[in-house]
Amino acid sequence: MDGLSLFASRRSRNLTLALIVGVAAYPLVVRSELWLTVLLFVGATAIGAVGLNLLTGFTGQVSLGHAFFLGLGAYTACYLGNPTGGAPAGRGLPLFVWLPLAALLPGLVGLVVGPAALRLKGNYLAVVSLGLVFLGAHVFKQWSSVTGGSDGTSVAPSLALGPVDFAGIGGLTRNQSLFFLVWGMVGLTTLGSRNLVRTRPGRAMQAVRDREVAAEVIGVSVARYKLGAFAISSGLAGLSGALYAVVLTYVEPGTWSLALSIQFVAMIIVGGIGTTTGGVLGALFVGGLPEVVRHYSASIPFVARTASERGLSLPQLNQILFGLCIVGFLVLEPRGIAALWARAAHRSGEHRVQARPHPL
Amino acid sequence: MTKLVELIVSGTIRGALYALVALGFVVIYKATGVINFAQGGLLLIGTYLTYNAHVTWGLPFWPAVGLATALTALTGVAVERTVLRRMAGQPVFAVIMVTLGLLIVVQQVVPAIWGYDRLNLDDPWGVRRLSFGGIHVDLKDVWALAVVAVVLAALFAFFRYGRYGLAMRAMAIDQEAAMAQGISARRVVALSWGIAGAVATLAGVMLAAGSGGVDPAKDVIALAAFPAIILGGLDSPVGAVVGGLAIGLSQALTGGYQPDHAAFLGAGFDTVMPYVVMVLVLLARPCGLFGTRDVVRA
Amino acid sequence: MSDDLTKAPVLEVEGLTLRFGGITALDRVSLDVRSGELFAVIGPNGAGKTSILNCLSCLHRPQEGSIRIEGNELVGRRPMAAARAGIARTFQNLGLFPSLDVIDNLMLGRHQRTSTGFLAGAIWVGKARREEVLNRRRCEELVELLDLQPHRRARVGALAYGVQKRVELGRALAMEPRLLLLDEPVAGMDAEETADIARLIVDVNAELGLAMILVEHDMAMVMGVADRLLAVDFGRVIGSGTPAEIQADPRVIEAYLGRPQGRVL
Repeated sequence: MDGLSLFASRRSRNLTLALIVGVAAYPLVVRSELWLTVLLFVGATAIGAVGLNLLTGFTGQVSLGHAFFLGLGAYTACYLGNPTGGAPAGRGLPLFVWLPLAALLPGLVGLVVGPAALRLKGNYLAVVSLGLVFLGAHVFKQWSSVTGGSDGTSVAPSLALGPVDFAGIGGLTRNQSLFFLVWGMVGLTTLGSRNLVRTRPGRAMQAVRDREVAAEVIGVSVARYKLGAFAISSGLAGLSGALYAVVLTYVEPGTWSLALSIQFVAMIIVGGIGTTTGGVLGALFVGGLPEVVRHYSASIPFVARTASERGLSLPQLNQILFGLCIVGFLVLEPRGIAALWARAAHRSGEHRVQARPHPL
Repeated sequence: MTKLVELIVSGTIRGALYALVALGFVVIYKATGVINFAQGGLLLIGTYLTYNAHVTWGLPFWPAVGLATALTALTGVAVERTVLRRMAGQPVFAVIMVTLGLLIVVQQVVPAIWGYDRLNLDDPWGVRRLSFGGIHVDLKDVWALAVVAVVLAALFAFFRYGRYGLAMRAMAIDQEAAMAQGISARRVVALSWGIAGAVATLAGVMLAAGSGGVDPAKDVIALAAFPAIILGGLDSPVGAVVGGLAIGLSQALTGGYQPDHAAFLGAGFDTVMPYVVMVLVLLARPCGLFGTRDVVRA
Repeated sequence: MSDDLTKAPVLEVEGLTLRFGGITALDRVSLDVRSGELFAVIGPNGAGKTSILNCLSCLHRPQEGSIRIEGNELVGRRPMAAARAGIARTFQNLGLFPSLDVIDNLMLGRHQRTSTGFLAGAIWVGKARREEVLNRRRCEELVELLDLQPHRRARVGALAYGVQKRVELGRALAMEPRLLLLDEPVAGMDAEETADIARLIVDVNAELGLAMILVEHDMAMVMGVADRLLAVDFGRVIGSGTPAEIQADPRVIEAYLGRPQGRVL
């Protein structure tokens, strides 16, 4: 019986296995702190992108409110995990407590906010979810006993899980060790998401996306799957936010901005809407692009290399490329990088995954 | 009492500017069914072009505004022709994201050309103030109200009597039927982008006049105007104006009274007030106060 | 033929009245379908045939009347409730999920017959896997029955119209319904395809003993397969009975002769 294995083809399986080996070896081989940090951010955001893809790509619900749930997860981690003596003080709880709760709590908030938001569709949902970011930012700013207010808070929860301390495994640096935690979570998230979308709940989500009325007629509870997708997406955003904050080591309310939400939407667009790998590929693209641009900045025209020189600054150039990528992918390849990946993985002749003209 | 009147006046003026921005959203929404997130970008382009025409090239103020309005309208049409036309038939979400992508590009290109410094628009009003029985009003704000009134009247006349205005209304009701009647959907959509560009320019100029100044962050007014259109209903020009005024007033009154009477809501609560109002209204009426029910089906 | 009057009705509809604004789409329509019966609804365009089906699947909410399936009242409930009560249907303009493949569409028909939740699905090992294997087998049987083998992993939206019609029928059958509503299952099909589907409908009706309501324009086909018919016009019932009775009913003849469709009788 086809379609019961995790991978669409043998080639796809081999590519994925190679990728896992590559990721595991990365922190040991690549000694550059810069590239370690970049990949840490990529991993942390990939989790949120996979989550958003479940909501937007597979269930068809637009959200610009992702950053709010990232913030919730980050502050949950800070409040529960930070040392008790700090300012603002945390609870000093261990990793196995704060990390799951950093996903659960935003997931629960998603369940509470969801019913109101999901009555709305398309344009309305986009704007209202945007409101969530602004309202959230205000709350984060005011709740200084947890968030440190506008001054922000350091993020220093315990990273020890039993005998393994992800702040320094053996003789490895913090970033090297953290790499295994972050990318381990990426692996779990991707696997879970892949399983979800190929079984009953994921199929129901896609039915809701494709045709709500028909879904209801065959007995799929539209509300249940919209809400479920929203809660899962919020929970994964929380997990993503917690790890993102740990990598950053310091967060302020301004971190969880509309711009961050847009980055996540860009990730799934560029990576591939409605595909499991799309979130990870997109996070890699969005996170890696600025570094690649910086590396080659000397040979890019119009770029100012010193502050006094006229022309585009690097951050400006990055943002512009970023905007152009969103527009370009949507206009030219709405199925994103994942479509290119699928094409590469299926050249062996096993055409199990069908080409999908447009994801939504 | 004076404080209340002053707050109402300043809220009305701010609300009028929201309304002007919101009208740009509504025009494009009526023709295409999508919120144009790049409206703030058009506003930036229009405002900086006005600055260039007036201050750099030395044109008199009003001709400069006219030129910038025309150029921004053309920019809007060009963006529609080159990018958004290719998105016809794509899901709402995808089109929204394209406009967001465009906004991101404009937000960076504008300061790359004109810098981040706040520039003086050198408008004819400056910081002159008028006084009515103890209530002070900036002269440029009086003009802002006048501009909003004129634009509003023009848009209403356009929708009611103009050939394309009627076409646009027909498109909003039933795109296929409208096209079957020989209405050129392409022209209507392009035109809506042109109008949005023009309206955005006027809003930007009135925002930047006087003590406002021209700076690349002026597009945030578009974000604040979102609640206005949600409140008013995405497809209703009257709704945009009422929504804009409601948001402006609620913001001004919150700014005036909340720090003393509801301090627990925190400093700067007035900046998020539009979104609070929006959420409350949507909980009661999912299609806004004046919106057509169908809009929710997006 | 199963017009055995002693069989209990699966579906009882009484005095169904549906209005849209000032327009009365259905006016006191009553009918009953017995277990294993192939029941057809005929009538000119706009007569209210699809409105009847939409009421039965709870997509429309009638102002008056009652719909009972095996004794359970459906009026005023959500479409999901109709599905749960055992009503499956196909749509005139197809209600498939175009971006999913044939197998996934069929598996969605199994939705209420399965129970894997979000967590079990994400974990896969255990319940989700067991349910997948079990239900996939059923769907593969339907693939065989409906001759869909070449299209199993094809995206449904990209398939030919006739094939999509078969997929939709398959999805409805996958639900293992008590009552199957077919809204113009052969619309847009050529003579050969029509004959195939007609044979299939008769087979399914006979083998599974499944009660069906068939709404169809193709009179020849309807008269050939239906046990009993209901003729409607302007939202009203103008006749009911066996094909022979209907063909002899003066009101039905008049309704059809009064307009171009008359030639089909």
